Amino acid sequence: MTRMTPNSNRQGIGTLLFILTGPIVWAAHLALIYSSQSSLCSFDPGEGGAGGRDAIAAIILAVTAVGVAAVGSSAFRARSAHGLTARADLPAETITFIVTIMRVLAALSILAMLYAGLGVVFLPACDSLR
Amino acid sequence: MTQQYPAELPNKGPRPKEELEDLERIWATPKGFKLLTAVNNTVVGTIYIGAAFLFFVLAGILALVMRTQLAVPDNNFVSQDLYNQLFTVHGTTMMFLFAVPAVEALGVMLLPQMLAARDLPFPRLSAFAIWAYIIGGLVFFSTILYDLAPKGGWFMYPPLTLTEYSPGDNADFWLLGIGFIEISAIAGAIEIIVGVLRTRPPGMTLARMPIFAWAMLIFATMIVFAFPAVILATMLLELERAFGWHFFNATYGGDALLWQHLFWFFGHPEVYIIFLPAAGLVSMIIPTMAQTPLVGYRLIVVALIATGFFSFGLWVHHMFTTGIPGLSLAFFSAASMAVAIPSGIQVFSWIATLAAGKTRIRMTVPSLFIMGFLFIFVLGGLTGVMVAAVPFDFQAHDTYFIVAHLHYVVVGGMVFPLFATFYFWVPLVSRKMLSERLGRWAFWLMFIGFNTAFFPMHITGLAGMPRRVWTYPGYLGWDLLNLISTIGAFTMAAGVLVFIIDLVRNFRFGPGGPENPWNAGTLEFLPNDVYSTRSIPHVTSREPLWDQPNLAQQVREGLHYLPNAPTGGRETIITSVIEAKPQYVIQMPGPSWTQFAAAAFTAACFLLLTVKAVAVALTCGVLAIVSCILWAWQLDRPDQGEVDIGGGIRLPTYMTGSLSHSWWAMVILMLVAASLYISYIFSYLYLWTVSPEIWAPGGSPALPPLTYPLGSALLLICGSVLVHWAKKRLPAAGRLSLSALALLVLAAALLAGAVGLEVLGHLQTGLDPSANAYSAMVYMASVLTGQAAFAVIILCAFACGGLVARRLDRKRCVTFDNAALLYWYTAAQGLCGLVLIHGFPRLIG
Repeated sequence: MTRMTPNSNRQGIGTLLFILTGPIVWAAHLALIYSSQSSLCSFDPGEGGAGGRDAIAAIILAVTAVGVAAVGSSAFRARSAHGLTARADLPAETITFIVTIMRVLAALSILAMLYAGLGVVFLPACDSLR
Repeated sequence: MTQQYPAELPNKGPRPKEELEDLERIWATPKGFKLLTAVNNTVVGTIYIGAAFLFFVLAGILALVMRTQLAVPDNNFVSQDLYNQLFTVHGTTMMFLFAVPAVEALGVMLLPQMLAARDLPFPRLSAFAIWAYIIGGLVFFSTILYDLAPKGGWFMYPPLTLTEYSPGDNADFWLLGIGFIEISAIAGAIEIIVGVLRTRPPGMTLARMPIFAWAMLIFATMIVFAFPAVILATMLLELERAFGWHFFNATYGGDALLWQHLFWFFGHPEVYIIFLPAAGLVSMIIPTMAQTPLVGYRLIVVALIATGFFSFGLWVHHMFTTGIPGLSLAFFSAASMAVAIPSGIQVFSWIATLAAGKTRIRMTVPSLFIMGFLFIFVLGGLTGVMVAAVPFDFQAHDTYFIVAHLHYVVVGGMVFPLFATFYFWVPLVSRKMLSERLGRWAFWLMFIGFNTAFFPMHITGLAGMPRRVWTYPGYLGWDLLNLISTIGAFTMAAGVLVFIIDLVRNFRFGPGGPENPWNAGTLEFLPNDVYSTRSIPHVTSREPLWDQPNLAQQVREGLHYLPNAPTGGRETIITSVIEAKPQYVIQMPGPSWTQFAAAAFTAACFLLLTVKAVAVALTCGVLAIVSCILWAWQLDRPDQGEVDIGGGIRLPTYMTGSLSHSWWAMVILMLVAASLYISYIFSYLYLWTVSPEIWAPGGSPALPPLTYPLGSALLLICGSVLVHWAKKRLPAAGRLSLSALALLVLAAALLAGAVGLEVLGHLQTGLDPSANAYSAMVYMASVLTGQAAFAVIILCAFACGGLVARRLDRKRCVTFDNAALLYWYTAAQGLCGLVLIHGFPRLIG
């Protein structure tokens, strides 16, 4: 058993961030769509609101597409992504575990982003439901 | 998983007899009144759990009083005003003084044993958190006895809790008391995160970590990000109540909904903060009872992480009826549905494990409580999906349906696993097991009582009964259902009483309990004593006790790592985050009065502020800081050189930089501070969307000239550079560096100057903090940076003291590193604040 260098901590933090790629992007996605939609609705955008509402829909769909693509591509090329963030050469048992966790979390995050983002297709951008 | 045994054991036997005597002496528990100074995790963990259970019983008694009041219509058993206090203290106590502390206590008590560490890395921090919680909690709870208890419900919504509608000190007890206890929870969370990531035994990679350790890691991380939001909320509300800074009063451009956003950003994750550790406990108990490895270990880890994250996207589902646009509700409804998936993964995994071990399952008391948990929690989860559907929530909101739902989730999801835990892990701290016979009585009374009490509430709610009503007329058809609920509540209480009798008859604190009575596979059932395990095992699988049959004997004989105390004091091994490779030996502190005094004086400071005894409160605050300084002074021990832990590994006994556990703790503390500040930025921007007309320059005095913020920014940047230079001028061991000392003093002065200049600029424009929500928000930025700067200045003074005493040098510089990290963070936060306060109004204006 060899002793660790300070790099091992960077590898540790990088690996933890790699595992959390999907949820972190999901959190950013929710923050972006909610903040943009609620702030634009607060100021009643455009004449009658129509232009602003289109903008809201465009923002939400674009952010969702980017989020899904980012998480999907990092999950698809998981080992390269891990190498990029952690620069770690881990044993097979550990890397398999980490990549599996990362990919399942990515899948759940994509589902959650699609679920939230597609609401704009079915619902008015700013109206209350009652 | 491939089973790997070390080619040979790390140490050869037999070990010298003196090693064990040394360990027993070094780790001995103080006796008598000195027990207050104890820091051993088993001692303070047991006190912690005992206190949490006391609060559970006390809050339960309040519930029985409420159920008695509601048993029959038009009842006058208690007054309306007292009823308001009862439900507020009941909810607050259960959530803040029982549920979170209980699971944190289990972390403190069980984690070192599960990780075969001698203790968590900051034992005095645990002890501080525990005593602060006990003292603050008891004072808060006692307010119900003096008609001083808050009356605004456990979520204390303004405007009801503003001074106009809640005069007196009642609400202040909640705001200052609970705010203070949240700080104690954060202290415990930092301890747990660093403990799980850095004190695992060699070989225990992330893939081999016990599920409870995963659950506690996520639990503690959630506290780091969730609790600051409610701490900010309590600060804002207290400032509004005490000084008239208007954050929530609509007349002055504030908004009561800001409180709801901040509270529920904490409040909804709080439910999962309570549930996830309990789920972790369940994932540990079920495999043992079924004598089968957990089915879907990886999926359970995924489920814990996903639940932890998604729970932060649910807060608005408590605000579905506040008039927020429908699309916003859809975002949070989607997240509410999404979180059901990982919860479902866990439930199916537990069922699959039970099915895989169906021929070996032992239906003991812990098993019964786990079965009860599964039944109740699944029902609570299903009603959770119902209320996540916006149209249904419109109907059920604030009715007894919600009361039923939340109790099914919280009692099912946390209380039943907790009782399973009591019976399952009691041999770790008691010489006797609890009684199976009394345990079965306790379970069935609690299970039947709980369902009798709370299932009818679904119907009562659907029949229209609002929550928190003091009484109700008889003609509405709610009387029979309420009577049944009351009978159920008393039946459940009888179950708890049977458990208490069991405790009195059988719980005997101390080591020497039966060894691994359930044939569990995890390390906490290794032979334990005050020093935890005699030696720290090399782990090769997830269930080492099943896969390494002689492990217990080897550990007891000291044949694994660190079988002695090479530095002559308390110590454990620090390992790497992912692979758990040994990095260094941490020297840990022993018993002391300092952390107890710090807790007592901090509690006194907060509580005396509540009753406006400002001078005495400030004196207590100073004494608390002095206690903390003494505590930290004792912590900073010199390097003892490299020590041999066995297996040919020699490790250093002092570490600085990013490998140091204290660096990790400081980084986590900075995340807490950043989370608080992000909540503030959200609040500022939120209030702007609500009341843009009061923003400068149109609705408030114009901003100060740019020379003020630029000057302040220059001071922050210069101070940061000075700290960097001071680091380079740290002296060699045993020497004094006057230049480093002078640079640190100057850097601290520049930081104070930066905050002062910012405040001065606004004062000179005539901006009054009590004028409106905008002005209050402007000064709040300085309050937040000022409090961080205050902490930095104390740390700089501490480092200066270390320099003068020649205890701080180029190698022994952990205290300096911590001061520098927090300094740079505070400077960055200050710069962000300047950009927001001076840049945003110019951008929009």
